Amino acid sequence: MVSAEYGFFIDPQRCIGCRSCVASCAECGTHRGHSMIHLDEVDRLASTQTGPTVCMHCEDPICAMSCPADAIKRSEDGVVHASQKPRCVACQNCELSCPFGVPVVYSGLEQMLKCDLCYDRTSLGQRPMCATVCPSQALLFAPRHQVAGLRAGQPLREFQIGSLRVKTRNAIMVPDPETPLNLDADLLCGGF
Amino acid sequence: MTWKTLFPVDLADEGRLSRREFGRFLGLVAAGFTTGIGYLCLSKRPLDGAPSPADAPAQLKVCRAEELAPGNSFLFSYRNPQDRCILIHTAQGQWRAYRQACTHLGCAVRWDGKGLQCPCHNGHFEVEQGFPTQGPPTRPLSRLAVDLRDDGWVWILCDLPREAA
Repeated sequence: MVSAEYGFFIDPQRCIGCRSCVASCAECGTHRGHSMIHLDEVDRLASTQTGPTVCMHCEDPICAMSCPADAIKRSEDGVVHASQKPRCVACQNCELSCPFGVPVVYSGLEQMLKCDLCYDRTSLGQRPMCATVCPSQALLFAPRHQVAGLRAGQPLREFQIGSLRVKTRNAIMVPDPETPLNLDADLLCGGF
Repeated sequence: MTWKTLFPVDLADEGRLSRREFGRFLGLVAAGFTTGIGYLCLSKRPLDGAPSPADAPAQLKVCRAEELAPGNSFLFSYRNPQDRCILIHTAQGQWRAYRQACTHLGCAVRWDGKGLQCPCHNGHFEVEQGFPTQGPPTRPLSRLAVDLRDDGWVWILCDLPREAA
């Protein structure tokens, strides 16, 4: 079981786009050569900014609720697991429903695989593969009480996506409300 | 009961069994075992229908010898209507009689022209003494003594003692 004390903190501002996390995730024995991390370029033409996306492990996982085969389960520690192979029918409902775009149905396997917080490692007290290799520690797996000393900003675990309010186990580090966000909104979001 | 209760997201809630339900299940199973084993001990009767010491020799006139051509079999009941037995006249002219209950799980064996075959799990017994030759059974069939009398009738005399397999 993953200790409730430990949290996963994603800080996109620290990401340098090295793809170490992608490579290490694919190398993990339980992932069968597939990487469960999506590394996105925010606007490749104008910026070098990248952002890693791992599963946020929602408190009310929409992927599990949309699964018609009852294949996606959450364990007691709040970790939402990849689909159970005997049940998954590869219908892609989870892919379409996830607000973060995490689950991927692999056509060769006919199964949905997604980040399960490296449960084989974290349940034994080790850090997830991606967090161990990230050179800038954009992916941080640490006790929650230590985060304030390790990172500027605040961990955000609640999101409003359209009409959907999502609470998650993992957190994204965002700047303090007092600190002005140094983002070029016109550049990044096309003027919205 | 909503679908969320029937198909819970949490792994811990799946297939949940309360302590009371589990205790009831254990109690029922234990009572069933105790009753069954107690019955078997008190009846002192093996499951394959072999005779108990209380069974006295009982002679039974089964059929006329000329009614059963070599290579054929004849079904009859011996000590009671449930005691299903099979009389076999082999191609070599020997007469054999066995209880039909297979010594594996009690299905009725049948004559296949060479031996006795149990269709349930493909067990097979040789006809000479009823020893198992194939499949799950490990003990020989319960054998009866056959007597071919001068008047042309085939008689069953008694149960033969079980020989070691």
